Amino acid sequence: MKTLLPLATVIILFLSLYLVFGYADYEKTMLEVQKIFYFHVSSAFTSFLAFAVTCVCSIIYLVKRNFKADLIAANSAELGLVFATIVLTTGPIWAKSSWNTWWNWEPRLTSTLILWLTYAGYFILRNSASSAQKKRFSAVFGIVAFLNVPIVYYSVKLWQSSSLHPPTTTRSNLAESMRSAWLISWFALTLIYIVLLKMRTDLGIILHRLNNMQADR
Amino acid sequence: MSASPNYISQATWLVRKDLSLHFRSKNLLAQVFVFSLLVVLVFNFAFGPAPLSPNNQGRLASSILWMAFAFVGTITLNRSVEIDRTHGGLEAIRLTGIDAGLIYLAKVVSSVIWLTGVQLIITPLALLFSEALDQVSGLAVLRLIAVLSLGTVGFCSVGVTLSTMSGRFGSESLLTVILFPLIFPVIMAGARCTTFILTTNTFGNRFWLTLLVTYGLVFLSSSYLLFEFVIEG
Amino acid sequence: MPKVDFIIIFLVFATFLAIFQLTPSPDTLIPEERIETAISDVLGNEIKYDRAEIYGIVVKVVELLNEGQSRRIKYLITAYFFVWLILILYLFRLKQQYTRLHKQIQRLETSSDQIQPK
Repeated sequence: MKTLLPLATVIILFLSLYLVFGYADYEKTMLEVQKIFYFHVSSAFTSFLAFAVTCVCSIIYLVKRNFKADLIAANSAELGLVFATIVLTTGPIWAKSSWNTWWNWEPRLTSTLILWLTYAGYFILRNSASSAQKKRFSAVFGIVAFLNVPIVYYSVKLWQSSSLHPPTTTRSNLAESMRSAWLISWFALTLIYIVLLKMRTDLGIILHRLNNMQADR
Repeated sequence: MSASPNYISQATWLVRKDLSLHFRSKNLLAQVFVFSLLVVLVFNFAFGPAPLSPNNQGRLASSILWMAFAFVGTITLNRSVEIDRTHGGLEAIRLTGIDAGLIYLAKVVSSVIWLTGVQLIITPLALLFSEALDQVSGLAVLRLIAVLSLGTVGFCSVGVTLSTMSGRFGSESLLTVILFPLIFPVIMAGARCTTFILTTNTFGNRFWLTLLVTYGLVFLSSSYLLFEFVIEG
Repeated sequence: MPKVDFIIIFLVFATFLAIFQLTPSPDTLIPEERIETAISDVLGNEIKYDRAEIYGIVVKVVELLNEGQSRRIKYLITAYFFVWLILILYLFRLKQQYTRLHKQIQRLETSSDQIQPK
């Protein structure tokens, strides 16, 4: 069972690579460059999922004061930052190749930037707090920050659409082959997230138990 | 345990306490006023004297206004938390058994009142220096006040929670770092509305107002529930 | 020192990305016979068209298409470079935790050896 999840991740990852490069049609205007979109958008959704997990675990921590919940919340926020970084690096590359500008206030990129800054603040707060308050404060911040996510998303969408930039999101009409490639690559990235989260959390639990053992001696 | 009339009297007492502490030091009043004036001037100098079309003038004025407002708001929040911390005020209040959510609401109310007072001073000045004052008519003033109030409420609803958390560790820039990403929607919505009011004397897209109201409601209610976790221990 | 790990990874990444960006893409190489065969397939053996002119046009078109394509593929591969870099950096962070774990276990072992000397 322990090897099943990583094995499944590897299989789905290679399947997604095949689908992206060997099966999905080329998009009319952007041709090859559009293939960035499969991992770019999937990373955005995965980071969103990671931050949702942080919010849920923060609530659980505040209710039950279970150290594991706090551990999962922090690790998930870190992974969310990792995936948001992927979005923010592949995004400008895609923008440069398609619209010839490194940054054009595209709604998804801008929301992800705000999200990235928010959760960077999460870690700055967590590291500044004293150890007694650290978990409580990061839990409260995790909940408040996630409540902000849909608000940020809608406000950036409206804010950007009121400018003169042409609409830039291209997610609406996907050909059938592209849709299946996208879904599988999204699934692959989600599995990668789950596997990394599990690894990091297991390590954290072992360290915690070791610390307790040492304290007991 | 607390009957309704008790709630209101407790809340009023808390608000009056906070406001009296804010207004106690004339030095602080002068400092905040001069700071906001300087922020407005710095931006105008950095931008240059070249006149813009009335539309762009309105945009410039509203962006300067909200920028100054964000900075002054941060200072205010830090200051009020510092006051509570230095004299052990928060612990003392907790000992009297007042509901944590009530403490939060009282803090929000006092911060909003203070910031609104500051805004009543900065706004005409910002408009004056950005040469947008002539565009403002009577009804526009009312609309402007409405937008600024909504923005202030939204700002303080998040700001009080975050400043109480970050105030323990002294540094002002910590509050800025964790607060600003969360209030971007307020700044966006407020600045857009203000621009519309200054240029076209309407509220513009109704969605922005709805956003401000939603934002305030969401964060007021969630912070009300979460504040006891912030100040326990 | 864990920080050295990250610096090394960055340097490796930057080196390879720079090499990739700076080397010119391979030239368009389409052998003459393949173009001839392609033209023959399309036009048959009609003598109506000027073969040389059509040949020239086809060569130019293929070159243009390939030039655009090599630019686009460069962008695509650069994006994937970054995706892998970020994921690998995270894996090295996990390695940091493992090292910390090992050190703590070693410390526990040595201290338990001191309590009960073997």
